[in-house]
Amino acid sequence: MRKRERARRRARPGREGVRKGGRERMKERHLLLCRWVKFHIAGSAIYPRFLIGQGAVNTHCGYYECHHSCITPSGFRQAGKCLKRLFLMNEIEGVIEPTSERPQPPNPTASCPIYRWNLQNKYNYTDVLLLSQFIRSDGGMLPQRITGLCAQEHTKIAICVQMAHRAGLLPDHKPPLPVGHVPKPKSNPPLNRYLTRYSVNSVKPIYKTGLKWCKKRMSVGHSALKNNVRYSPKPLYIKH
Amino acid sequence: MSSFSRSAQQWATFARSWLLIDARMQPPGKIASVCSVRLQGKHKPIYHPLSDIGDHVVVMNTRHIAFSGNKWEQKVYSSHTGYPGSFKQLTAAQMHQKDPTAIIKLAVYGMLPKNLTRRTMMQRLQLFPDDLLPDDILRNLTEELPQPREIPRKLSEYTQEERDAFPMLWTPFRAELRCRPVRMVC
Repeated sequence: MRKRERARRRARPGREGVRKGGRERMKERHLLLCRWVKFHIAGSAIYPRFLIGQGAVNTHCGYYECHHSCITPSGFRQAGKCLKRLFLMNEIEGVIEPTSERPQPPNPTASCPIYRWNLQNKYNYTDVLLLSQFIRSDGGMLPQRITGLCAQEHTKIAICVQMAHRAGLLPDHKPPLPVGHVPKPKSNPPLNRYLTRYSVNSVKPIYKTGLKWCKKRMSVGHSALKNNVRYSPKPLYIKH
Repeated sequence: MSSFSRSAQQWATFARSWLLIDARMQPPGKIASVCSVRLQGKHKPIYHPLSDIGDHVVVMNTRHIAFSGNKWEQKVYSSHTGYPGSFKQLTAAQMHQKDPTAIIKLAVYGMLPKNLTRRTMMQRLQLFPDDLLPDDILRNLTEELPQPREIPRKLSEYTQEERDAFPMLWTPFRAELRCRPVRMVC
């Protein structure tokens, strides 16, 4: 909080300094938006849709379209603040557009999206189309307050996403490498794996497995998914 | 087949066939159990442990096997030659790096019956780390066995139509979605 306050005080010119006019401020905001944001609050009739972009700065009316180089959380926050300021100063008006036809969930009254679509115990690490809806572009999970998932389902989805990453099912959701970084050529090609519960570097080899009655088992999959629907008569086999 | 002559039927029943199995993205234990069944001849109705009617099995792409769980790091292969100080313990990952066919070979060896016929059955098992097979073996192959594990599809392997057909579970806050332009009134 203190850093933000200091930055604000530095940015705001003192009473002795020159105050920027409305157009200059608009330009700055515009540049900020163009740099950071392809901004679009999507979807339902609840959220008004804005589309801001590179128009001529002088014309306030017309269509605006923004292009982005990267979407960062701070960028989103900045753009959101700018939009709010513009909205409060009556410089933008939001028009609520009707959304396209979408399939309706079978249980629309539930709060969690998984319960809305009755997918409680029916998904696995292989259901990548489902899991990709809850992840960021660099592979991390979206927060619960954004997605609306309940706690248990959030953890289950996080576990499945982790397992999918380790199985190599989400190749395009890797974190971006720093600019100019050339990855070293790996001597061993990566080993194929699936249903990996633990992180690869954290696991130690089991040198002494022990006797039959007290064997150290290797765990496969995760116990959070033990209630999943099974269509074969064999029970789920977690301890190998 | 009842249309065969007696000699042809006899030949078809007792012939030793060559079977191929692709181990890409498959768990080595499941591959090994399929191989051991075929090497012993247990898939034939004329099976007898003494009659040596097992088939040849060729396993390709053993370099690309997939272990479930964290077995690459946790599973340890131990060996002792009998001499003092020669107790070696290697993890599955180290073993695989040293010899890409060793894991499946050991798995099949452990699943065959522990008698003198085991060595002859192991001689009938051919393992190849990649899909490059020698010509004489390629010419002998008669059947390809189905893979035991269904390989899951990566996200990049889904077509755009399949991705569009999958419904959105929640209204996202994503800028990648297309939108129609809105007239901004200022």
